[in-house]
Amino acid sequence: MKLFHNRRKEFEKLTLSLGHDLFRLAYWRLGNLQDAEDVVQEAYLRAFRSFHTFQLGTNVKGWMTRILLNVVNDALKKRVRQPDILAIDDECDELVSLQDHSAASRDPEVQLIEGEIRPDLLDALQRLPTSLLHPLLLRELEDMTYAEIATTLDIPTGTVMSRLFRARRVVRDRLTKKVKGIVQSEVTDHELQ
Amino acid sequence: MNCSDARPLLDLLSDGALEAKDSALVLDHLKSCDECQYELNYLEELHSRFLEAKDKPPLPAGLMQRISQKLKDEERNQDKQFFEQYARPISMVAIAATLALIGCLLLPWIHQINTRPAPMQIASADTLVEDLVSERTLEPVIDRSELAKRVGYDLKYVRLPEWQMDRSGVYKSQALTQIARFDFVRKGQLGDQHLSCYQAPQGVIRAKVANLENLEGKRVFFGSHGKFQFALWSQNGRDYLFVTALSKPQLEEIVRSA
Repeated sequence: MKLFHNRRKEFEKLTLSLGHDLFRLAYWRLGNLQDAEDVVQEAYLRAFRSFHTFQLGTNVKGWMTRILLNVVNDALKKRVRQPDILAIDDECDELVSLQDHSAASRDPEVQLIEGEIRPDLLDALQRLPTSLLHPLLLRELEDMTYAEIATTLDIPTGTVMSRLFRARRVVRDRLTKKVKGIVQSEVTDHELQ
Repeated sequence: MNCSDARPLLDLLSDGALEAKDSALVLDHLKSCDECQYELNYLEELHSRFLEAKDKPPLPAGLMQRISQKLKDEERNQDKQFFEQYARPISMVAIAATLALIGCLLLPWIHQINTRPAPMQIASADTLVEDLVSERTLEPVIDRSELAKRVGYDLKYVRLPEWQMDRSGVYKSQALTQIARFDFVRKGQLGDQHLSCYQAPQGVIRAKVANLENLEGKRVFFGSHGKFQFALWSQNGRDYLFVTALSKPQLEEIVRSA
């Protein structure tokens, strides 16, 4: 019996091409390849279960992104119950993810991939509160318009603009602090020699 | 335009979301403002950083195939749940409804079978005459109401004033159970005379060879078998077969008065 066969085919036709976008967003949100993969799989399952609520012809990427971000939030809440892999941002009012970056616990291939993209930008992003991070990721990584971001996050367009403005300045400040810290550290090391 | 007006619009300019008229104003301001130009440069650099990161990390090998497989598994689960929740009860109801429908359709037919009168079995008058001498062909039943119940119809008696009933019962031969038999006796000059009368629903008893005579308004078939004479006629929805060893005129007289 294949009651839902056509529905699954239709769902896959609409959503499978979004796999890389969703995976990338999950990774930049969580900072961990395995977690990102798990979250994307769960998001696809949830979306398929609620596919009957999706209105054909509307923005499928926005719909899938909203589901993914919900799954990501659930994953982050789960981490609250596991304090060894989660901390609360000192500067922000929301929970953020902090990964255990112990190189010894990571697969060499994962280290290689994450090493290519991790440096300062990812660190700066991961300390952003969710309310600032999501609009920024959707704009910069997913190329969504302000209106699409507003729909996806269910916030007004004006709020999208103000949050983007603030998020970019926070990231700039953190990147600048980091550069200053590195320069200062190099100078200190040089003087010690 | 001053810096406080331009700063909030730099993001829109960088995102390509600023209208042409406002863009011109902001760009004009940037020509004379290093701080705002620096700010815009930072935004452009941030764009570039994200642009470089767009194809990273690559999609893990086989992830979409695993997702597709999970969707198939989910689909099977949904099918199964649907069947358990709806299809199976519905199918059971459908089967019950179908059986009920078939029952309703067959009921009149079954009822017809049950209520249809049994096909009438024909008894030969000659055989009935022959069986008179066989004791095994009569199951004695004395009580009249019991006898009526056994043969399945009301017994309609004819008038035989000179005769005494000797015995009565159900004729058992030829697989016929609806024929009653009454044996009568009377005193004659040369000893006892015997008369046996069969009664059955009209049309059951037939005579192969007989002569039809009109006797006092009765249409009577007269015939003989061996030493016996018989008379067969119908009256009040019943067949009557009178058999006796007496002569035909004596039998005619009996029938005439019956």
